[in-house]
Amino acid sequence: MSRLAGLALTLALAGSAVAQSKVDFRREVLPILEGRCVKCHATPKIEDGKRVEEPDGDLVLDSRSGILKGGEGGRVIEPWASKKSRLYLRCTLPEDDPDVMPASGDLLTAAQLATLARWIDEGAEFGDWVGAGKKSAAPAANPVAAGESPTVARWRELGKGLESLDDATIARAKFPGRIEPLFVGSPLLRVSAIGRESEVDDKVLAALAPLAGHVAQLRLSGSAVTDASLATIARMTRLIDLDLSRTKVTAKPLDKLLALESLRTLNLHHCSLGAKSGAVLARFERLEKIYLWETGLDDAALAELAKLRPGLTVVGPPQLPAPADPAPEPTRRRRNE
Amino acid sequence: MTLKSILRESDEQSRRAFLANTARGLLGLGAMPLFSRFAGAAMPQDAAAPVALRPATARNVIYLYMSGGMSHLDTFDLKPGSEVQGPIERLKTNADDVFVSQHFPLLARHMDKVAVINSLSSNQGAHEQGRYFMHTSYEMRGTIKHPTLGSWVHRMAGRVNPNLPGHVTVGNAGPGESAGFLESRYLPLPIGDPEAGLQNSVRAKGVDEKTFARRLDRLRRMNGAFADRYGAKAVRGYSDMYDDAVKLMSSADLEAFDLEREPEAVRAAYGDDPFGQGCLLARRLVEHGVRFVEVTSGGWDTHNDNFEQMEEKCPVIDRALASLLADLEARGLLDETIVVLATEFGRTPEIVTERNSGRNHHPKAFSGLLAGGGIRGGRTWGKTDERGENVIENKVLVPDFNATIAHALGLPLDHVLTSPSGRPFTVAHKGKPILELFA
Repeated sequence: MSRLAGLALTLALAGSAVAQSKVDFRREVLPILEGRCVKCHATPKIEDGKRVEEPDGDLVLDSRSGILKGGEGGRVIEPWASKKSRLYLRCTLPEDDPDVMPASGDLLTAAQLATLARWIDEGAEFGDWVGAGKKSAAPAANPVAAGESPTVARWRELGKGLESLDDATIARAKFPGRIEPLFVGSPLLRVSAIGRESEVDDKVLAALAPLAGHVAQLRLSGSAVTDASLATIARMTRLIDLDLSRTKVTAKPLDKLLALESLRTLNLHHCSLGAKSGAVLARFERLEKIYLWETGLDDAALAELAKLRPGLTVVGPPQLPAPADPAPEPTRRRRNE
Repeated sequence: MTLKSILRESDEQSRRAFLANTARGLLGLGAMPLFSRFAGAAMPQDAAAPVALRPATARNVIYLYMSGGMSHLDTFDLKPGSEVQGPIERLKTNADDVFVSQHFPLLARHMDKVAVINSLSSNQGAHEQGRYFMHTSYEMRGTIKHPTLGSWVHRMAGRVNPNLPGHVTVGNAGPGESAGFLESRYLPLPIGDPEAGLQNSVRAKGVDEKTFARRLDRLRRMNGAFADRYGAKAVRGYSDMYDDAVKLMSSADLEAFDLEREPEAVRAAYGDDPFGQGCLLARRLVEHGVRFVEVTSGGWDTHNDNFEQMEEKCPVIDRALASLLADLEARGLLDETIVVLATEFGRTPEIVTERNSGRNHHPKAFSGLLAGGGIRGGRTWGKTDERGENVIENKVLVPDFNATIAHALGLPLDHVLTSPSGRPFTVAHKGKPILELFA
């Protein structure tokens, strides 16, 4: 098999949506590193206070910290993105490329490459493995996750263990708006009707059913969906943000969404919910933010909802400034006047 | 295939994408497959594919630019009781840690949404160079034109609404209107007067739809052979421009540009002036899926009459920005729209009495604002000394500021785009995002 065909096969394997359990670093990845990499990329020994046997490219692959730190060219793994990870990319180069790794001996097999790619695409987690060097070191924080906002951490958590859908499944939904991964490497989807609002109706939305478990953000503002779509949306078990603003959706079927345990933001501004819809809205116990401008709920009803649910941010009409008084006659002295 | 070519692959237009594009140009084939591959693979409907986005808390940007150098001491970094302060008083806001000048009473009610950066620092003390640096994160030089932030965002994140431009500038022609070395398709659509909307966007009188289609078809045929032979960026840029313009002309989204559709009370709330109406237009455009809108306010170069000019200029910003934040929030747009207020530098602590209390250029320390799009509001970041002269805490360099915006949008800061001359550039030029600002 040619090298390229092998690579193609590897990518196909890595990208396939077959349900596979998560790669176990210690059991599946470590043997590859130990067998093919650490001979040249080991933590230097200290003899007589001097480092001996410097690792090639200043890259150490026998410790967690070494792999996370990278070598003289910078980082070698980008968690969730094997195609940006040099640890993987360098091993996919053709045999005659001067940059190919391992530098001596056979190339990695397609199966080994697939394992590496999957491990990285699943977030490059090491389990409890620390490896050579300072054993007492606290587990290194994930370099990408460090400094990430709680919002992003929640997305990662929600996507855990979920396989990405393949393109064909997504294409079959024939959705006229945008479907995109929530971010690179995430199995979760962001679905938006923007720019194609008039085409997105109940029928179009119903065709999203095969994707339902993957949709985390659904933006249907101004689209043609009605109450009938709420049955479809109720199947989106990983939905976090739902925007139904400026649609014909009413309060009647909203209780269908109560089952959505992940739902945190619900946008209903300019939907005719009616003055009494506060009761059903108060039942969304996990909801964090709700938009209710021009929904038939008056200020008192909004205040009541906020009181019932202290953890909920209730957003009403915009507090726009009153129009300015007519500009006073200019009295100030201008230079050169 | 070498390593480099693999890494570059996602940027290069594939032959298929080129053919698809040409076909679109020649035959008017707009209906391209919606979905190609995930993760930044070539998208046939765009000449260059957007890049794979990191987790993003913002999807759009409204960038308000105070051209001329906004005085930090008289707006968001006040030094009450100090000899450098002059007559302007400090106002409390609805956020404990945040103060604004007395000229921002309306904005003071919305500062819980805003992070004030009081430690911006630039090394460019002249207007043109300062504006260029703020917009591109690179210093101006003779050998290359760098893309502005709007063009970077447009190029890397792609359009939201395929019928509308990815990037619009409102107000006087400014430094935001350059795509640098990028293709001309990443230029913004400039709107001079927000109230006039988009000019010449309807078919000329006496040209019916059929005639128009026939003319376009003839144009495509005449250009086709040339485009085939010389598929250079600039050539594609021209045909893309026609395609986009035609798409826009027949689009229902054209109404996004029409401020007449707003209630009179809303228009009045934003302020009856080009900046206020520009902010309202920005909100409409973002709502319709324009990725990046820049609105410019000019005349901040207050060498003369600093305090009198503040009295005149700040209320315009106060009203427009307070309305914009309230309006975006009520619509649920503020969660995904990062609102930026920036300028090229601050102004000196020294008050020049000979020029009726003017202030001169001061790039060493100045202020900017960030709100929405995942930014945690209601706080102040960074600190200057008691004169507002030097940054003494959490210095934010211009590339850091831009990197923070790029980070909010999920743009990979290490993603290299290569200029036609083969030189590598990255968005925000190695700036470090201020991660602490994110909620």
